[in-house]
Amino acid sequence: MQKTNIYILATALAVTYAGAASAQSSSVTTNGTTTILRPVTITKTADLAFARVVKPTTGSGTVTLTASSDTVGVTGTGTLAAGTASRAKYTINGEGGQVVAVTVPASFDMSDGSSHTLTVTLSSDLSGGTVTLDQTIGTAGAAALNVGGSFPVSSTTTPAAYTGTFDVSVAYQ
Amino acid sequence: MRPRSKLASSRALIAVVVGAILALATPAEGQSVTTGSVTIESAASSTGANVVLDVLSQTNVVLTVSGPAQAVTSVSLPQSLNVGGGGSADVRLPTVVSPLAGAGAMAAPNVIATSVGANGPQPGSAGQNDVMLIVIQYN
Repeated sequence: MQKTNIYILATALAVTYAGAASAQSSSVTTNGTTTILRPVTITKTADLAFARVVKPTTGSGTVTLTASSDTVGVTGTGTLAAGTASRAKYTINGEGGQVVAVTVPASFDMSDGSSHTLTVTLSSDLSGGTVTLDQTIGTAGAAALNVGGSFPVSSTTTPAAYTGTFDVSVAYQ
Repeated sequence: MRPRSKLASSRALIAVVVGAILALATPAEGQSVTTGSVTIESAASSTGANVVLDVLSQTNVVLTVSGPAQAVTSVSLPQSLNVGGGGSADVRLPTVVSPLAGAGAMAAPNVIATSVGANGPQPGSAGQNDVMLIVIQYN
């Protein structure tokens, strides 16, 4: 009989403790959010082609293809530009209304494959290195990007065909 | 609690690795490779050639011009040469460009037939000279 009483006392204490814990509980509602964006991509529609340049007969000059024109400008005695030139052109696609950071290298080298190089300084038509895609979120957006460049040329520049590559990348800001 | 089997541990590890790879690839980013190109050419010789013409017997001079294999768009040269010292005794020699061989697809060397002194032999003073600048434009 004494053993039975002890069990009853233990059960009563346990119930009392559980009841006190339940009275002090609280809850809060937490929201989960996300914005799903379609991937941002960049597609090249034209390479940076300076076409043909006749180097200066004396001294030095500059060959320039701006980001706003497909016409090559030259300076220097006897320097001439010929052929069909083109600035580099791209289309950026992604989520409408989003700001996209564009990374264009400051310069790149063109080589004739025989240790002669021309260093081209690049420039784009973007201000601040970003562009906002047209349309609004929920709709595909796009933006255009143009890149030009310039390089020095002199009477001692080795005549040859020069080529080189550079990467342009985009990312949501 | 049942101890985790080796297989379960391996799956968990794979999941972690895949998750890490996805996390690295997640930033939405695009890239494009662009090619830059230019062909640098030398200017045509600016020194030219010294052509001796006996105006008493020669009325036609054939000049051979070497150039790149490009289409020639135009050829220009002065209408005449004035041989003399600039006075009234100068001999005026008209120039004519005859059909330009290979003008459509200039295969070096190209030939320009230039007739100097189209009016026939002219009297002139020996040793007189003039400069005839021939400009060939090509694309």
